[in-house]
Amino acid sequence: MSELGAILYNPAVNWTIALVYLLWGPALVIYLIFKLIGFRGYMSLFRYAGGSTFLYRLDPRVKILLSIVVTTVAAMTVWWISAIIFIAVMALYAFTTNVGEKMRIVVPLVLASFIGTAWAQSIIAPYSYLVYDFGQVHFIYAFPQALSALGLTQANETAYVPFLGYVENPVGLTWEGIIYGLQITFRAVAAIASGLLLIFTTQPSDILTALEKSGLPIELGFTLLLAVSSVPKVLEASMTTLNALKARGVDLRPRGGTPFAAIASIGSSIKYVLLALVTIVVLTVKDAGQIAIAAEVRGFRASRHRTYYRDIKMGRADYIALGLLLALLALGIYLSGVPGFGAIPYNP
Amino acid sequence: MSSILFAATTTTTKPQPIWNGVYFNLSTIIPWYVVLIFTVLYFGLLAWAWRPREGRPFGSFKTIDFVYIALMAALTIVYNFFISPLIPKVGSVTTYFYYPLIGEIFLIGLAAALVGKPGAAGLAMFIYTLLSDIIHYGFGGEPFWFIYEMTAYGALIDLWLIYRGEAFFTPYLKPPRALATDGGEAEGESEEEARPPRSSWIIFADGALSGAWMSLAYPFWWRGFWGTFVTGYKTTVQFWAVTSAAALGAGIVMGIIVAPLIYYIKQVAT
Repeated sequence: MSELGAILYNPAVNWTIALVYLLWGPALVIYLIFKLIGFRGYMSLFRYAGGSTFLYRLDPRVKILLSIVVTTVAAMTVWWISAIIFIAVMALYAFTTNVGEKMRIVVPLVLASFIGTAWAQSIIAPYSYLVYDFGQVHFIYAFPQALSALGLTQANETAYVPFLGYVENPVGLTWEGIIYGLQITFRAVAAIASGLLLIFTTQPSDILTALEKSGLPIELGFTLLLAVSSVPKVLEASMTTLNALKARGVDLRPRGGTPFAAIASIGSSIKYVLLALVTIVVLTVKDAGQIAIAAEVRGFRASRHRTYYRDIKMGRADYIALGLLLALLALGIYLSGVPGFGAIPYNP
Repeated sequence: MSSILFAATTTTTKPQPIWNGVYFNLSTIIPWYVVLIFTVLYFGLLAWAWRPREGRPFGSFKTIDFVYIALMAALTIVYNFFISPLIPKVGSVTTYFYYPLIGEIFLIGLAAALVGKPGAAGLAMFIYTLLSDIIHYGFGGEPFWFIYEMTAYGALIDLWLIYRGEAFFTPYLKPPRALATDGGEAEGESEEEARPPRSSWIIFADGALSGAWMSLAYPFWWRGFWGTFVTGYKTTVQFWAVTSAAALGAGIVMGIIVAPLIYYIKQVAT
């Protein structure tokens, strides 16, 4: 074993690296992403800002279909087709207004998916899957054998581990696991990007009208739309509550110099988090009565046949987009049956 | 490197998704006919609960009920997508005790408590799934995820709501009888007489039942049927049984913890 190997596989160092990788990897990534986007960023996700390009003029039903077709084709074809679809959907963002602001939301969400999935699959993808998919599996780092009880990736044969040599049934981090994680993430990010495109380029009331015209009962459309438009309110209530707690000197992060102080600190953090949650829910629910009255005085459920101030109709561009989407769906179905173009098995 | 990157193109002999990312793999731990019968019975219950009155679907639901469900769905979205990912998860613990689920048990339980009508939990899960499909997951695997989310999270709560009704998450064993609304007294009985018997333990029973059922959704229903059927996921019967049993206990604990909070908020909001 080399000098570096002796350091890396010193039991204390080995356990520390393994536990840090296991416990803090995804939490750290998501924390950083949350810092990049912030509450206000998430709120803008649910607020429509108008535009004049063809994307804004397309019938909402076509954009809903875009989301469905992209998700379907990405799920049934090989990862690089999903990647091409993802890039194509991202290119459509060039036709939205205030592209930079939208990228500030979309890019961290996409990155979070990539990093999170690659992290998870690098240690949990079943060894047999990886051997089947890639032919051979390369270990990057071996964790202590005791961690095999957690269901981490473990070779069922002797395998080479850098700086350690040949090890019997090693457990740990694999290069193919990372690649596999990145590959299956393309399915998810294509779906996320197309879903966000619908939200960014369509007025909520138009989505409601489109859903009603597609046969969704008005009650479900109303509930769905109210839920969408309530998300920024919930986030605002969260900010108000957390800021009020901070202004009163409450520190939600557990701190403590000794183990007893740390446990006491965690206890008080849980208490304040519970208090904050109850306050957020009460703040959100207390306007329910007024919302219901406002809906009823506007004739909600008064008649089964509604008329619309702003009706939606399919135009020429919509039919062209519809044709392209149906062609993409047919191509995806065909390719999924062609050897080498079908989806890789998914390990959730 | 290129051999590694493109190795995935040689995997076409394994089962492939047949339609909309669904494998239709019936080699499941829970037999398909059990899930089918359960689903048909639950949707029968929903058809009854949502039956039209005066030509309107969801006849027994008032406007405020839809508002409650929408607000709870929004809160669930915020919790599941923005707050829950920030909660540190330890794989060795969360496999058996998925503690971040406590937020979802709290919010869906609260939706059912505020509405107090059978079908409320199913409707809340339907709206939540539709919203999360639009903003995050996409529509791959649908409509089966709708069926999974509604049956696995909502079914028993909706069934329990037939018995508990508006008394769900209150210390009353039965919903209070309707009193006269014109300022007078109800026929032949005072307000005291109209008040149903009171028993505090029933709040915790409501919480334990809701928590246990929702906690079983992933280990029991997803691992036992839907994961395999839709995504081709495979696991062992032992792992399924052990994680389901552990989740049952965990769910009861979480449900009992959130029960007084739900009761408190229901008192404040209604």
